[in-house]
Amino acid sequence: MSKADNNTTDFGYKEVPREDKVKHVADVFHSVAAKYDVMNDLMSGGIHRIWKKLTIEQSGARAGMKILDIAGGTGDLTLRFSRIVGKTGHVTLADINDSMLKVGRDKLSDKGAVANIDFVQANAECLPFPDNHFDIITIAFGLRNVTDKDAALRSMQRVLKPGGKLMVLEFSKTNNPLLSGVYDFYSFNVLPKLGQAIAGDAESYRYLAESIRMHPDQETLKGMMQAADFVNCKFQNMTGGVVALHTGIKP
Amino acid sequence: MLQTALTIFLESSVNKLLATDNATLSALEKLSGKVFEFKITDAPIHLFLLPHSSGIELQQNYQHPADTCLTGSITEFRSLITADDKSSQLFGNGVNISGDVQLANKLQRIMANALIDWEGLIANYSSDVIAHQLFNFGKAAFEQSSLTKESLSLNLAEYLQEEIQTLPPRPQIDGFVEDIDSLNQQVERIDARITAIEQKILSAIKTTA
Ligand SMILES: C[S@@+](CC[C@H](N)C(=O)[O-])C[C@H]1O[C@@H](n2cnc3c(N)ncnc32)[C@H](O)[C@@H]1O
Repeated sequence: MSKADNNTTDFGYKEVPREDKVKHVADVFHSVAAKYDVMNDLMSGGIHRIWKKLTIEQSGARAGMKILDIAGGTGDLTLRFSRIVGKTGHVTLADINDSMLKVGRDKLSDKGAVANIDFVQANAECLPFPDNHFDIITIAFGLRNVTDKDAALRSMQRVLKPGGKLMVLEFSKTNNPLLSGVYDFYSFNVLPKLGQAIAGDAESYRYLAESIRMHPDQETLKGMMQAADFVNCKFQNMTGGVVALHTGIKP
Repeated sequence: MLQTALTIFLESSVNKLLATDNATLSALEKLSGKVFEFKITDAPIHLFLLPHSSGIELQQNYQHPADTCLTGSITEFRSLITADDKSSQLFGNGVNISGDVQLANKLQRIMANALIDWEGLIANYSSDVIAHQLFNFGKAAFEQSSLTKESLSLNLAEYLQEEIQTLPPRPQIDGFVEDIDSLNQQVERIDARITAIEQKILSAIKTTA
């Protein structure tokens, strides 16, 4: 990541003062919250459900576990986790944005799943949970929005139990040139138009496309996880690297 | 990925069908926390079933041992679920059970009493169409690692899941798969044309350089 200097950070392709990124990201997600699920399906052709299912399958989640879904948004992962951990387990959906949390809470209560779920407004950079608390932590399509990613990884490391697993599902770099071309065209031409048509908001979706390009590639993120004291760090590309699932264990 | 799409499709079909079947849902809730493993011997199907209060969660991978493992052929599973005498001890008729047999019997009773046409579901899920044609198609797409085709087929499977709220009847699936096949061929032709054009451009660049 090339930062102009320490006082600014990337917001999509723009450089903004570090302290402003949170606000800009908040504006994006306040703006998209209501149409978030519909847009997710449209944008990915539904494939995000498959990426999420594969994440769940590899999480090792089982009855009785405590799981944190940070940047959990509208709660797709939380819902599946809450069904797997059952009455004896617990899932915490944390998100910095109260609009996204509200959409998430409403959706999950419609689906009859809230008994074992907590909704917490929190910043991934400084999680308000005790040390060594969770068996599994997931952050899906969230890390790229976080200003200080290293702080967020350290914070997750702290609240994870020794032996616990962190899973980062995020857009990444594809190394297939044909696919990259199609993907770029899609992201910068089709996506903002879809955003405009469905959510009445092209800017937010332009930000999403740009933020994806600014996110560290597979090897860089793996290195960042190692630097935050995770071991057994691995990643698995999905859909040709459009998305990667990184996992690491707290020693 | 394609198998995963089909698993999500099957799971959401079952859950939609169970949404109004409160008796079944409360019976499933009692089994919440238990894990059932299904191994089909004559089709590439290996699934874990996790019951919960809104239906079932289906996974192709589960990283811990299941409580009960059921192994058998498609016919064996089908005959045990569609036997006329719903109350008889059906598991054990060819289907091999390891682990907690009591649990297997409980699940069997729940499935038999559920207001679901399991035979139709299983036929659809495991029919040649899905288990072989789509599987082979997925494999071919995967082997050529042509992502356009891969995501195309995924979109179609997703379409099935999302747009057609219940499971479509067999003829519909047949037609659908034909559509996929012809799309597949079209994509291949486009692929070939793009490659040809690319080569033309490349050689044009080379001759002008
Ligand atoms: C693209 S959504 C992903 C939602 C969900 N995990 C999913 O996969 O559908 C990104 C979420 O990250 C949240 N977010 C952004 N910055 C965050 C931060 N610093 N801490 C916690 N959540 C954050 C946003 O509010 C938004 O809900």
